[in-house]
Amino acid sequence: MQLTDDQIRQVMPHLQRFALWLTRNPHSAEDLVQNCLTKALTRRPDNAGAESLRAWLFYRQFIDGERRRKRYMKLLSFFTGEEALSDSSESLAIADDTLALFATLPTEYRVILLLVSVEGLSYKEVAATLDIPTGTVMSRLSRARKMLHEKLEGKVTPLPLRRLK
Amino acid sequence: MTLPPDEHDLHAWMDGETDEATSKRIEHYLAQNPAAAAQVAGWRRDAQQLRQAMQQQHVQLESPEPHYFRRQVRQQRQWKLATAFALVLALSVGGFTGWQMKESQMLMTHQPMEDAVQAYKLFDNSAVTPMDVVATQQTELTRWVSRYFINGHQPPNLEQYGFTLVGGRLIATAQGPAALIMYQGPSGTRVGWYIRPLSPVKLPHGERQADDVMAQYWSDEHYNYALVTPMNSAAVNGLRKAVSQATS
Repeated sequence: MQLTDDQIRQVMPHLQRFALWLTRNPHSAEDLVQNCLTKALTRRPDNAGAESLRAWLFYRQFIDGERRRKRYMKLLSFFTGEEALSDSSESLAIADDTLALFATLPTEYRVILLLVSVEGLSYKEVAATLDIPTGTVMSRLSRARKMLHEKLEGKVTPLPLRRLK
Repeated sequence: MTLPPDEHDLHAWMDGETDEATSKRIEHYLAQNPAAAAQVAGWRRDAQQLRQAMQQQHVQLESPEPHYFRRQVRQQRQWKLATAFALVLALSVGGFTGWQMKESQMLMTHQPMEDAVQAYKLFDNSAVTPMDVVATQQTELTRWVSRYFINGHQPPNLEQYGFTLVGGRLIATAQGPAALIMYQGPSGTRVGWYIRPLSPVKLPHGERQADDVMAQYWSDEHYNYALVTPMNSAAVNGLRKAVSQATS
């Protein structure tokens, strides 16, 4: 069983949107989407509703890809001694204030808001996608929404001290 | 109404993750707590704002057609297959050449059938070293040889070349027993037929000269054989020719 052409066409805009706001860089987003779909064609998930297909595609492919990219960036900046493009939001021209504020959220908050509020995945799917317990999904979502709300209200709070993985 | 719902419950309700009873309980709670209701409404507004903004923000990303990904996957597979094939090829070529090298090095370090030459030299003079089996009958000797060399060739009958059987001598080698069968020609010229186990390597058909003797050698599936003849005798020419024709 393989992804059909229709499934690919159907899922592509979702993947692109997710990848774009995850990486905040159009080129990285394109690469991520293409990698993700190529991988998805070599390994098929066992249970495949349209929803869980999306969850499965977000899972690993994107998150892992993003982690790898970060590691690579760290390595690059270590060897070149320059600050690599760690925050690439500048390469994406954001006209909208809401999006500009959203782009400043920590990655894990952006991810959870994208999955729940934008893509409309269930908590269970998000938990499976991110490989975390449902309880963690809920508390992270709660913090993410609070932070987004404060930003949108113009009350900018400093980032939590906890380092992001 | 027992406990007021916590923040997680409110989020879950907003995302449609609560069951009917909990939903009712939360709706009831929100109706009586305008502050909480405003909070939830605020989150909902934020989410809506975010979705809207994303819809309006047009970022043109490259969207390849599905067949592009399929081709990509095919190419990856082919590449993997080719790599695997190259690996197998490299291993087998390496292994095979290594084996060949080993054989050719063996042949280079060991003079082929040197033991046959030495045995012949040792037993050329019957007065000094007598035979184990003194036999002039082909059948007797055949029985003796087949006791030690299973599936080996029998010592040939060389009478048509003017050589008759003298006897045989059993010799020990590192690989097992070997035997030298001596024949004698009309003018007292002696030739030796030698049989020994195949190892270390199966010898190709060939011949070599060592001092005053010539060893012609060949192999079958189980043994190496040699015919050792003196250089200084014309009587063995016919025999040598016959051997090299029969074994090549």
